Amino acid sequence: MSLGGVSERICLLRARIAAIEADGRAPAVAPASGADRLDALLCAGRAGLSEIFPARAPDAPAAAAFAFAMALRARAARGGGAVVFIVEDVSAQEFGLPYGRGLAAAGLDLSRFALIRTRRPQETLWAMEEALKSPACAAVVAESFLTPRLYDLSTSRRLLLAARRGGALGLVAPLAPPKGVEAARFSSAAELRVEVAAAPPGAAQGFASRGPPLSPLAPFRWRLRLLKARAGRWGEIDPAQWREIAFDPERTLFRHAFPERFPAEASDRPAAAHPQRRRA
Amino acid sequence: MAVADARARCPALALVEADPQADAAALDALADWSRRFTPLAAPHPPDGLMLDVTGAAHLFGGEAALLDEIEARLSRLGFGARAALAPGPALARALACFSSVRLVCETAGQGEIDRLAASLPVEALGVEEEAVAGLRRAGLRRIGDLLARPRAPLAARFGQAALTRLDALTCRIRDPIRPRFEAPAFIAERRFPDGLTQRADIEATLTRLAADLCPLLERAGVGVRRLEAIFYRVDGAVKRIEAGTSRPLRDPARLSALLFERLAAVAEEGLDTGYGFDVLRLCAIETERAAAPQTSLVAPVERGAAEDGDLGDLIDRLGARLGLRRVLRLHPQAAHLPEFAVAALPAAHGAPAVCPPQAAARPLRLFERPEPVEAIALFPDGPPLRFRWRRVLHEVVAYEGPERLAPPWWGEAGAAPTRDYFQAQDRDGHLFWLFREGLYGRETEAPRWYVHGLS
Repeated sequence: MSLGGVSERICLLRARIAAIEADGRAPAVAPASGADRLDALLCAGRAGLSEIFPARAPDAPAAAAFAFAMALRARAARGGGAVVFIVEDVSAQEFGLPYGRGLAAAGLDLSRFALIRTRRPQETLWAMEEALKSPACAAVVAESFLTPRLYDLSTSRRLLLAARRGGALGLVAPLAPPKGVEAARFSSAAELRVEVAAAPPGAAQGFASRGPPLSPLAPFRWRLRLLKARAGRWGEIDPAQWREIAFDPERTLFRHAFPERFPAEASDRPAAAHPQRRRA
Repeated sequence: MAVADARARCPALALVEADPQADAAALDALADWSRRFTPLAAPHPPDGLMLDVTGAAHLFGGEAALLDEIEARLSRLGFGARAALAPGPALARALACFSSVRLVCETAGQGEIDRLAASLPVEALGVEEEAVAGLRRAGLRRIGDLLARPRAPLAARFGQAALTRLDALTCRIRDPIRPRFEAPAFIAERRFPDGLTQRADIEATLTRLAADLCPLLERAGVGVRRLEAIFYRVDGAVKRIEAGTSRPLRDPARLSALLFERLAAVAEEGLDTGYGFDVLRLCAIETERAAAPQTSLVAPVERGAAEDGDLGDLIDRLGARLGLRRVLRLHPQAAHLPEFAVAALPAAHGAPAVCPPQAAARPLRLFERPEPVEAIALFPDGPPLRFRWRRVLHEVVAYEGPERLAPPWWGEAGAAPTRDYFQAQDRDGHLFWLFREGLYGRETEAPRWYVHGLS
């Protein structure tokens, strides 16, 4: 058994070929297997506003990737719609612009995607509200250097109402975690607030082993902690605990980060017999 | 006359340094102002304006009334001006400069025009100083002297250009007027006796103008791609706002909503209302064919068409406020170098085609230009062990690669070095997309490392 991510990717490609062979039917989505309890929480499935804070400043790209994964999940739950990314100029300088090939590889339809560049946080918030109001959007991700003064209870309430009106999921991904006093004072109308950090590679993996053991889940694996969730959505989730979670772009759902690899699931395979096809 | 002589004659003379650039700018501004009379207006350096008022004079109560109004308005702005109107631009200019006749009707015969031109001095030709001096030396003082002579010797002596000018002056040929702005195909306009100063009034007027414009567009079967609203302020200043759309539009509500958005964006910098705007004009600068949507019961409903429309509305609104270049869509390109594989084009260019995703591992974010890092590799063409990016040392604990990308040998970038890309993860779990530029030993002795993306 190879440990490399390469072999995992080949498995994914095999699954895709199998899907094509099954007369173009998409592989059956199997939310039961491997789906995390958090998935139900993270998949809003309805209009709302979520905040995704990076645990530390360098985790901002990971937090943005998590927001992007939530956007994909919301789009799948809604059954279509556009995804809008709002990126401030400062953020583009610090962490680069969203890259079309990478987004497309993660399952985003580029013909249903718009990238908005803004100069200031005020513009970002305005653009986000407009986008949320539009019935075309399934999810709107805004990366911004927000301060509690700009993004307060009334601003977030406006965003939440706009999201409810347009039926979109709004995702605010601040580029810096709130510090000290600000963190304590921070209050907003968001329904969900999580803190995201990049997940360090597993202990078994190490450079000493000399393999190239990059996790096959690489960009879509995080550690996260719930800071806030509206009553009724908690379930049995311990809020203070850091949890490892991964996003599966193939099935568009969140799942446990462990185990990293599954044996191929029966539900993924084409139905065993394809008599008509074989005969032809 | 020298300055000293002038001073001697009139001690109270006020002297101002000549500023040709400011003069030209003022003339351009006046040309913009004069577009309130006709869409075709051109500055005529050094001190003239040329308006093509064909078919526009009756809006101002006839040609004579139009001339009066232009002169009166210019004098109110503080300019002494003489206006003249003639069947040809060259004749009109000559009349304004050298004659007391100010109006020659369109119906005037060639004989009448020749008689009128004959009395003008040769300077009216508008040729260079030397040519005029040559004409004067030859004893030709009036245009009439030229008209009376046979053409061939004149052409031989003074050049074909002088004859062309003569023909233009006598309206035998027509000089082109090069307007400062292209005349838009569709215009709607409202005039007011007093200036509008309230934002609400301006917005209401824009709504009405949009409602005026849309039937014209509908009749022609086109929709607007670029829309311009021009505000003429009573003190002569001209303000314009422009809005672009991502698809041909001819819905008055949408057009006026776009303009309000633009107006709101401009107002932040200050749409200087001043004493008010007395002419508001809405022009469709760029149009595109647009079939009328089928609205009947049996219309085949295209899947996603409504959603496309909604997304288009959103993009237009955002583009109007933030600027069209800030609302982008990502178009996959047929190129393998990562920075060229996706083009971020303004959304007004249209939606990208649907393309199948590729299996190659690519980061979620890409820097606009790769950032150099100091990296240490185990061996010169091996994977990175640790690297320093933005003054922070990252230790690589997991990686995948290399993926070798050669520059396109068929293009100009053929001489660029080959890149080896690595996906690398540091101890904290952050992912980097690094590349080493140059093959060790073959292309370079000291390969350099860059961070190209993050995910």
